[in-house]
Amino acid sequence: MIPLLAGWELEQLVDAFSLTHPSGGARVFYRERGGRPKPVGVLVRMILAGWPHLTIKSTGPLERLYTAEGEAAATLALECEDASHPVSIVLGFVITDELFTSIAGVCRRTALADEVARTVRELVRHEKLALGARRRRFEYRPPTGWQPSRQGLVTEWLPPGYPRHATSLVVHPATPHAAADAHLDALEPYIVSAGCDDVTTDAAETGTTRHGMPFEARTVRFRRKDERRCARVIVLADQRYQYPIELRAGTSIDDTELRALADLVDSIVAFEPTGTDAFTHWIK
Amino acid sequence: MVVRSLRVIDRDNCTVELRVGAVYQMLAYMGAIVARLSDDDAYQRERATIDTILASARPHLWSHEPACFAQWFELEAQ
Repeated sequence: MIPLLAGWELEQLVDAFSLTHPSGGARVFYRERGGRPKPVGVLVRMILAGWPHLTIKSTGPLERLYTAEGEAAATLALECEDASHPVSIVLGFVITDELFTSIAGVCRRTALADEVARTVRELVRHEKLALGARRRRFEYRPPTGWQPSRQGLVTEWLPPGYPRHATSLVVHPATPHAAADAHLDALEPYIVSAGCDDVTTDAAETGTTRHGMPFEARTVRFRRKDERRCARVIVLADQRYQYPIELRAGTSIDDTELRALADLVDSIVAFEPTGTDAFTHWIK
Repeated sequence: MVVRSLRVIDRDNCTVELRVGAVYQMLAYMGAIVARLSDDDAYQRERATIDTILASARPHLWSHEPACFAQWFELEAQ
C-alpha cells in the first residue's frame, strides 16, 4: 500500500491503480504484490513491453534503496520518446523472497520530470507491505566459482572440486532475534539429533566484520558415519536480525576455506533499520 | 559450458557429418548436447538456433530463481 498523493486523481485499473498528476502531464502506475519476484531486468522488460510505441533513448543506473519497512527496493530512470516527444519514465520495485511490487512513473512534460522521479522514489520508500520480522534471505557476495544448491531460504555453495573437495558454505536466512536461538546455543543438540556423535564445541569467539557488524563464531567437531568432520558457524547480528553462515568441512578447515568464509561474511549487507517518516508533507 | 565441434570424415577425407557439442558440468554430474549437421552450410544456416539451444541448458539442480538475493537486482538476465 502506498500513500495517495494529494491532488492526484486515482483510477482503478484491472490489476493496478494509477495516479494522475493534477496537470495531467504525468501518471504513476502502482501494482502491489504483482506475483513471484523476478530479476529487475525481467520486470523492466515486462513493463516496457506494455508500451510498445515508446523508444528508449537512454537508461540511467539502477539505484538501490530500502523501504521504510526495510524491504529491498530499486529504482531505474529511462529517457524515452513517443512519436518524437520526450517521455521520462521512472520504474520502482520492491522485491521480497515471495513477491514484488512495481511502481511506474510516466512523465510527458519535461518540467515535471524531477518531481515525478522524486515522487516515485518516495512512493517506493513508503510502500507498506507489513511483512514484519521474519526469516528472510539477505545479500552477500557468493564465493567465486562455487555453485549454488538452493532449498527454500537456504543456499548451499559448493566449491569447484565438489564432491571430492567435500566442503560447503551454507547461508541460512536471516532470523529475527526473538526466534533465533538455533544456531550457536543449540548447535550441539542439533548436530547430535542429525545422527552425529562425539561432538565437541570450541569456545565462542567474537569479533566484527570489515563493515563493523558484530559476530560470534564457534567451531564444532563431530563424527558422522565413522568419519571425523568439523563445521564453523558464524552468526552476525544487527539490531533486528541474526545472520548465520556455516562452513561444513572435512577433518579440518584449511586456510582457503577460512578465507572463502571470511570473504562471504565480510560481504553481508545487513537490513537497513526502519527509517523515520519524512513523507507526510507530500500527502497533505 | 564447453563447446567443441568435430568433423566426421570418410576414408577419402570427405565430410560426412559435422557435430557441434556442448558439455556441462554441475557438481558430480555432467551433461551434453550434440547437434549433428550435414555440412558447414547447414551449420552456418542453423547456427543461431543451435547457439540458443546450447546456451539454454539448465541443470535440474539449479533453481529457477536466483540463489542469492542480490541477483534479483540485476538488470541483465543470467
